[in-house]
Amino acid sequence: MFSTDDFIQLAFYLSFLTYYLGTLIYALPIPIYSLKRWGPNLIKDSILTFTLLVSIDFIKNGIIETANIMGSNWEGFYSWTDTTLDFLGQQRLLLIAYYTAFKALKSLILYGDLLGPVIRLISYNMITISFIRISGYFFQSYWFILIAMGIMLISMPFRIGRSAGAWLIALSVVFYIGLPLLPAFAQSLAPPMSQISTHPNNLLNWGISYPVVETGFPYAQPPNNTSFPVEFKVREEAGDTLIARYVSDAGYVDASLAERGLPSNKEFFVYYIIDGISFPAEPYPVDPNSDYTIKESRITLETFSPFILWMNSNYALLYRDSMKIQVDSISVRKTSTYNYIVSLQFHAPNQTYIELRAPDNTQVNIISCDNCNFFSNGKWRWLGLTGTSIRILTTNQAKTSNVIIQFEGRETETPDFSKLEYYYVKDFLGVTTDSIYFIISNIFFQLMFMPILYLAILTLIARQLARLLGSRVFPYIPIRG
Amino acid sequence: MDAVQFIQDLTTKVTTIAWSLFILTWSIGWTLKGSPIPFAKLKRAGDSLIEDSIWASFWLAMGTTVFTLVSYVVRSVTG
Repeated sequence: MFSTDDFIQLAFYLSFLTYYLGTLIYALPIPIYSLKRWGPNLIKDSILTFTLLVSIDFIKNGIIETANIMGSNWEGFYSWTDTTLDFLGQQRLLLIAYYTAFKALKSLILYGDLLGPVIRLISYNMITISFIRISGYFFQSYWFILIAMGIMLISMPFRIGRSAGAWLIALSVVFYIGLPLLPAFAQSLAPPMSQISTHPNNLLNWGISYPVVETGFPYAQPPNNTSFPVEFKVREEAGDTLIARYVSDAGYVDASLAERGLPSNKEFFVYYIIDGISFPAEPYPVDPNSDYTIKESRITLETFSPFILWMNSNYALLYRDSMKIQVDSISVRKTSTYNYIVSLQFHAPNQTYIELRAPDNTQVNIISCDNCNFFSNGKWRWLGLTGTSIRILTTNQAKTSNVIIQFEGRETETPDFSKLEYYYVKDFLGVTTDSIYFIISNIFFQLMFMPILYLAILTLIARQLARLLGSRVFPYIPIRG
Repeated sequence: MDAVQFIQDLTTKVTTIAWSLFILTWSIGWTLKGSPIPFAKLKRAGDSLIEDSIWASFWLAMGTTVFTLVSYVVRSVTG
């Protein structure tokens, strides 16, 4: 193992040898110019290296002083590389979580295919930063021995190692001074760093899929212009956790937008909220593995609430409170835009009821009620709408009950659904997928492009310095041709 | 024998050969210059050899002096 002193000593002796070889060639009794010109060249080279060797401490102190003046700080450099590697590791883990979350279902086509290469790029980025860190360690620890080695190479006779030596000296000087300034370069010339913020475990546990959720009722389809909120919940040990709330529009909840989504790995429950009542919807619970289907090339989840018997666009609603109530038939006759006559036959056990809810602008007349009675259940209030509710109970559970209800309404105001939506991806998982690619671009710009650009700049400077060191800067020594 | 020793030996040999070559070249130069052959070209070659040998001896003497001086100074400084 050679030390700096070994290289310097070797360089001294090689310098002497080169010098005396020069004088030997000078003294040759052969008057051939092409041979003789090596004499002064070797003497010049030897003087150059001898000067370098004599002033090596001066050069060393000069380089250290220059580095200090430039603000080189190796502690800051290592701290930056460590922080950057941690940061990239987190982002990579997060993107893997994303990838896994997307991969669980067919939504891979949406984002997953793009994330694969991005994860690989982050890995390359980490390799680049690690390489820069190791280079930093190398140049910080061995820069002076590299200079000594470079001078030793330059000292070799007949310019055998001149280029290599000049390169070594130039590289070690430039990188020793310049490399610690990389963090300042990368940070000062780039936009502020942003990051993807969420907990990767949540993503992995829950997953993301982007289905379109169909909403419906088994007895009568709702009018297409009716909207109502649909809640998605999971059952926790103590109560339910709301994971998303979307407004169903014209029979569909569009969860396929980037920030919305639904779980792809965990079962959840769907509830329709109408007139202030929460109705569980089938399938109950939703199993993403079996309940998502591909329909017209979209991932679709078909849901329906068996409790809701009928509703119209005025939010007049007819529902059963229990699945024990058996609906024999239901027929709806529309007499005008907001006027309906609903005829319902059912079997109901005691202590169960059918309830109808109508907003204030809808007049409800119960035309007939065979084997049943009804009573008012007071007022209800829901998202700016108010109305009355009527409960219908059977009088003899052994017989079929028959009720005919007339609804006469006017156009009603739509409930205020604004600020009601709660997005699964954005609000529950806490990620904004829209910005992922912007953030990733930002990461690459600051942590990949800028360091590589800086390394390229340093290498170009080193190249020019090497050229300068390797050029003939010494005066002409006379020789007879 | 390590690298330093080898280079030192080589340097000593080269120096010895260089001094010998100086004497040889100087002699050949004067021989050519003083030869009773009336060829100007030959005489000029003799001149050239003498001049080169003188320069060579100058650099040899200079080098030896400077290197010895520096070695002495370094040895004095470093102890």
